[in-house]
Amino acid sequence: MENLEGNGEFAIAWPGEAGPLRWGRTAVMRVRNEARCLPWVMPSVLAAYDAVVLVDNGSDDGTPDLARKLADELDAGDRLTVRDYPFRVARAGEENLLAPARSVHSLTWFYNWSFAQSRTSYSFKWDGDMILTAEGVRVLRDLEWQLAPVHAIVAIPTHPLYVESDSVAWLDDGSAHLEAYGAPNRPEFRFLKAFEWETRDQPEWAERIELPYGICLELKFLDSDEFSHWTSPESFLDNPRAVRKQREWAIFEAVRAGRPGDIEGLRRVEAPAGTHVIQHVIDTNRSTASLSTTHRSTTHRPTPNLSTTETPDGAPGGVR
Amino acid sequence: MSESSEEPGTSPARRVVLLPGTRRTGAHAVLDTLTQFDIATPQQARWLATFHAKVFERAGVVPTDARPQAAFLLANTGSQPDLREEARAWLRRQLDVQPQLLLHEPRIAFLASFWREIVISCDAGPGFVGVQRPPADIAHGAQPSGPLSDAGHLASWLNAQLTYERSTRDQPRSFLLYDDLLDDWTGPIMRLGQALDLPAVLECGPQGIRRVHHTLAEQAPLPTSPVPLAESEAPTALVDLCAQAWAALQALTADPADAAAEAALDDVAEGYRLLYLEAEAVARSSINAAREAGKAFVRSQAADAGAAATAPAAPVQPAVPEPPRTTRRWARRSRT
Repeated sequence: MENLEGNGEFAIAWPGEAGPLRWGRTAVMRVRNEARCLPWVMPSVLAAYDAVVLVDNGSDDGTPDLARKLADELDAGDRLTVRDYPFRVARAGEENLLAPARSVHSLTWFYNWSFAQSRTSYSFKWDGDMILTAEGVRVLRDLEWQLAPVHAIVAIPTHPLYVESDSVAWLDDGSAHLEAYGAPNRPEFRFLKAFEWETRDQPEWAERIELPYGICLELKFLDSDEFSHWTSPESFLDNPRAVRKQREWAIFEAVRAGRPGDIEGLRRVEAPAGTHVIQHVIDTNRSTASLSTTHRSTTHRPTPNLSTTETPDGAPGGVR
Repeated sequence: MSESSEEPGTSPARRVVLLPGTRRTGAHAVLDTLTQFDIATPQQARWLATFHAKVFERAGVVPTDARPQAAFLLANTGSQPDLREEARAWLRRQLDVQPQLLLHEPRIAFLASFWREIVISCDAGPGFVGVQRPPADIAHGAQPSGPLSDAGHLASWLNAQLTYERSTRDQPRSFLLYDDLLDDWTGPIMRLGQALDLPAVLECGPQGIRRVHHTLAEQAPLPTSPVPLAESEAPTALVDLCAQAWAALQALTADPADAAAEAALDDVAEGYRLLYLEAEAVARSSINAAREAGKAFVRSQAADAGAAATAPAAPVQPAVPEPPRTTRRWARRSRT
């Protein structure tokens, strides 16, 4: 498929059309300046997936080289593919709304081009700040064979982990974001343009699996600007489709102001001496029902409320 | 070794041995053996079967399910927080009483991944046991019987074996041949104890050993099939897959991490997936007829209950696209 700019180098050949796909699961990471997160992200993503495609969008902190270095150190360099996407991509919110879907500047085109780099039968959207617990790695590995007989959407609940220092972090047990991260790598599951961001198509015949709560975390550093991928805070503060961002904003404000107790469900985590708090959470956090029994119905569909958000329209992530 | 976090010398090793299989598979022989070594079975004996029945019912799966996607359906159901919490709370209570525990229930074959996580979350180490008998012997005498009944029984056996083997890979596990147990149980059970790091076996005294000898000697051997697998009336493609699986499973009894055997089972799994798809396509009329009968049943029930004159129609199955026919190979690399 050709883009509006007529740039043939960034035309899209849907997965499978450019050649046969091999069985497996690829994590597709679209990143900008994630060097700080990668030392935590790459080990779990390389342990959980068969392949990783990392698409860099203008990093100036050495993100691509660091990814290669980490993969080599893990003896997994042959499972990492690094690509460069050199265009300025519209930020979530109004910029996305104004960007034509067939432009190389749209989130939609960026995502579809990125996923077209995968050569396996399943692909997973994976943000540059997403880490898996030890249990999460095992559960994701199980999918390697469990997905074989089906065409399924894989929904993964994620919980933000707000890192205050090397030894202290705040885990948001009080909310979870349930999103369809994984899907068969077929044109029927391509990304479509939505209002504020992109959304992955989900044919009615697709089956669906939801993974346990508590196994996947999103790193948020309290001393960083975690909202720069939005056009402006106004884009999400009054937006009914951006409840998740509103909670993140509220937590940032509360913790920075020294009032974390204002946020229900926010849990302080302190690592033992000599262990980084992120590693401590990776090693010790387990799927729990403390959130789930409160905010998740037994019909296996998320209960719509302010604390558990599912975004069938996808959600902004990836490039930060 | 397990992933248990216990500190040696400070507390007894917490181990949970998981054993699937029905009596026809010979699982009872291992059950009777291990319980002689002070490995306890749960105090609430019925709880496990009742719990598994609930999980299977929610997933829409039956214990003899031959569908390759049965494991996927159960994995999805097994993510439900209430089920995980119920299992976790129950297991914690059991381990508080008995740190080396044996869970035996046929449906474990499809729930190994689920129990792995529950056991680890209870600070115990999981260990998986598989008892093997020739597929023809297991299909022999199974109900229902009749023309081509072997096909269904063999398909059920194959699906359960493939699922259990694949889901226990990279975990402490041990496969045993039922005939080997009857012949000389000491070798297989010692290998099991070593693979699962079971103090109750590794440190057992002569009394336990004598008890096992007597227990197994009192057991009547299971009947064997007078018809070898190769002469089964089941479709040739299915018989061939079962034969390949059986050969690989026997290899795993010597080395539970035999890479060649695991690769062979991956190929069998792929072959079975395609065979099942073809069988479903051929039997489409029967599937549609069953669906219509189900709708009619729902309508009649609704009418009997004095509900609306027309019951809601069962959801129409959407058309599923032809799956990709790319040859699949499992990733077979060592991971950290």
